[in-house]
Amino acid sequence: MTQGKTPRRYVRGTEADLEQQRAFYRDLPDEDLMDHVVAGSEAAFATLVDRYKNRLQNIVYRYIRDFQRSEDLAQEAFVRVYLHRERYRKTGKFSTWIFTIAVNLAKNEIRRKVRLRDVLSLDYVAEMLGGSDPGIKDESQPAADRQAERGQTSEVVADAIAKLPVVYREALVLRDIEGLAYEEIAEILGIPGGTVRSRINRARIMLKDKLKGFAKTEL
Amino acid sequence: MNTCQRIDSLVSAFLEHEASPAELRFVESHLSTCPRCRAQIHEVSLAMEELSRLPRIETRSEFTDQVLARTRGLRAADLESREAWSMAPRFTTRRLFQWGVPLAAAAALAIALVSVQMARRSGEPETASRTTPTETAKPAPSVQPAQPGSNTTVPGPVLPPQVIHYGKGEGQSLGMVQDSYALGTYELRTPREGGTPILTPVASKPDMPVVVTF
Repeated sequence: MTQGKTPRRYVRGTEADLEQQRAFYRDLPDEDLMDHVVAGSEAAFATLVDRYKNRLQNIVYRYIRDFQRSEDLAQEAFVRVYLHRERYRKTGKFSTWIFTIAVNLAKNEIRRKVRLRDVLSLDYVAEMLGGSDPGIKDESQPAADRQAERGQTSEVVADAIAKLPVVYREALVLRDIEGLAYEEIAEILGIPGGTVRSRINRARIMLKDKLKGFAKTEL
Repeated sequence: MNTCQRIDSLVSAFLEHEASPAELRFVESHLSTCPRCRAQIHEVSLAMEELSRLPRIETRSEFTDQVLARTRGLRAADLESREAWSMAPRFTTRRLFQWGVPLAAAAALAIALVSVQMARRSGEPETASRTTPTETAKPAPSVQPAQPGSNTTVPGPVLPPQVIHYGKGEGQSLGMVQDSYALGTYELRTPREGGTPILTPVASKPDMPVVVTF
């Protein structure tokens, strides 16, 4: 039951209280929700988590292809949003901010995996981060979870994406899977808009070439 | 760059309807005569369709609750640290600069006071005039080698304290500091001839030399 236009400040209460407040926050834009988060509303923060959790985990997953680890990193991105909530400025989109955090966490994870493999070759590191990616195999996703990638075609496409060099993969994922605007991608990746366009164009052509090897008749 | 390579660079702009009118004419004109580029455009378009149909990862049902549990833990820790901070003595950077005394000088002052007390107990005389800056060094105490079979530990060499006397009114005052043991008030002054600022007593114990040890 709502109490006026502004709900009472959330104090640890019942699950029913939390659900009531979530209903209120559901229609608020991200930037207004952040105001409530800064003011101490857990329900507002929960709404933001619900709103972005799938997209965040998808983005991270496309980087590292590790289901369990992508979940950890997606949660870590939200924790960092909470930790630095008072630094958020409405001049920028909330989505840009949180996607930037997630992308940086994913890139750090790639570097961490390279170190863990005790690979000292600088050439290999360059390959992983910017050259032709030998591919980070999904070693954590159990067979049952592969329901998330139904069909052989989907697996082929997912494998082809994973084999793209990171700089092309990330641009392609943000544009063609997450549907972000070029300008937002440029801000997230910290590169000029022209560079984003050229990388996405190049990534699409590379992806097309990789898919040709597994082509159906349509391709 | 040949024409087909130029078309490659315009594939995305063409497919996303972002090509300029001139670029559009250029592409359409070339496609009418180049089967390779027509296939390129078509295959990239299909690849983009496959991407849009890619199944999305669904987070587990407990995802949000797990995030909230982590942030609740952070809130509790944050509250505890804020309460601890509110009970601590206030010491701000502004006050530090107001007194004009670096934190290292305050630590050196505490060491100096202890050394003065120790020197008085040992009956060591003053070694220099108060009106002119002087430095004296005492010889290091001799160290007896440990006797074979003994259990005593031979201490390392002890550095002698530097005793610096400074008269009031010389040099430039940089500020005052109250030592943490409330034994006196000292003034930080620079020598007229320049050099490292020196602490000098100005209030209740004008006769007490300042001993700075390092």
